[in-house]
Amino acid sequence: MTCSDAERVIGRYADDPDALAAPDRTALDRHLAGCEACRIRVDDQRTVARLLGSRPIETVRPGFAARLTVRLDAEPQGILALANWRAWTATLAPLAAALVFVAWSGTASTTTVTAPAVPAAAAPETFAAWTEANAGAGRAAVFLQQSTSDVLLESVLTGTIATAGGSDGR
Amino acid sequence: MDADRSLVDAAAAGSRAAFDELVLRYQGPVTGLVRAMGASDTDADDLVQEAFVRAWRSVRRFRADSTFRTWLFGIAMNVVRTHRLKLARSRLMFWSPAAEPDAGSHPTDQASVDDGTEDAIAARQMIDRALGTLPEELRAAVVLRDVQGLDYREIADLLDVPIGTVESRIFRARQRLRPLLESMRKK
Repeated sequence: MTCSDAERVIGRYADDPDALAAPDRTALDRHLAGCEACRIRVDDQRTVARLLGSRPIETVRPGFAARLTVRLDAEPQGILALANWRAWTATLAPLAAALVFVAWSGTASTTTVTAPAVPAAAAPETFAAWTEANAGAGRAAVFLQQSTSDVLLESVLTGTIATAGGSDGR
Repeated sequence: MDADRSLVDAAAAGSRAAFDELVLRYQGPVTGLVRAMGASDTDADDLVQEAFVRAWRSVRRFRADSTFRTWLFGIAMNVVRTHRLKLARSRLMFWSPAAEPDAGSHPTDQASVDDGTEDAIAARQMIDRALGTLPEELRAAVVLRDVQGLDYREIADLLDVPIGTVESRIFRARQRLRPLLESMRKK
């Protein structure tokens, strides 16, 4: 047994040599007989275990039982426990996730199938063309357009203001 | 044979009196566990309560694959782990040096130690500070073994790791703690 092999079982040996399987115990005893470093390790393991075992125990804070009782009393019992959303939501969470996924998949495929085709781009209706077509009718028009300022500026400069979506905006 | 078996069976059948008796038995050990795992004195009270509330909710589903103590400690460890994650997240968002907690130095510490002597308080604080330097996996193994007295098999079940891993973690944890506890050793 090497020091590295010994490390695997030294902690347990330090706690209780009899806890080791006989072959491990024999091999470790033989190794310790000739290895001072590992004997020191065994002592260190025992010392630390003893110190940790002497850690003073805390008591619960005053009123702990009363505070816990209030919380436990608020917990539903028997058939009412079915109303405990924590219990059944945890149980049903995977099913809910699967349903959401299925619903999402269905929506996505439906959208793909039924989505209206984008109409072919109509020729932009210009202010000049509309004015010419309605000349003499005594009608005026206001062209509305959702546009960035750059596009609007360009439209003004070139005299080609595209409509925003048909006659509603007039 | 689990010494708590009859109480656990009664609690599983809905007996609050039986569960209260289990609380009485384990409130001290569970408090010690959450404190040794790094919870402050004030947080410990809430965490221990939360552990018992969760145990009460699920005691009907308790199977005798492990002892009640091991099962309860597992719940408490999960509560501490969840709390630590929440703390880590809130520190990422709101961290300031002044708000950084100093392990073991909470103002209410003194009132919570049952023997109340300064030596006991100092010893506990020194041990907790030393434990606080360990990675969580080493700390959990050595606390369950040396502070709580669980055997290697129970620890392996609770942490869901092979027993050889438990042996290795306990060995490494103690080796790291030895120089940190040197001054206690000399007393």
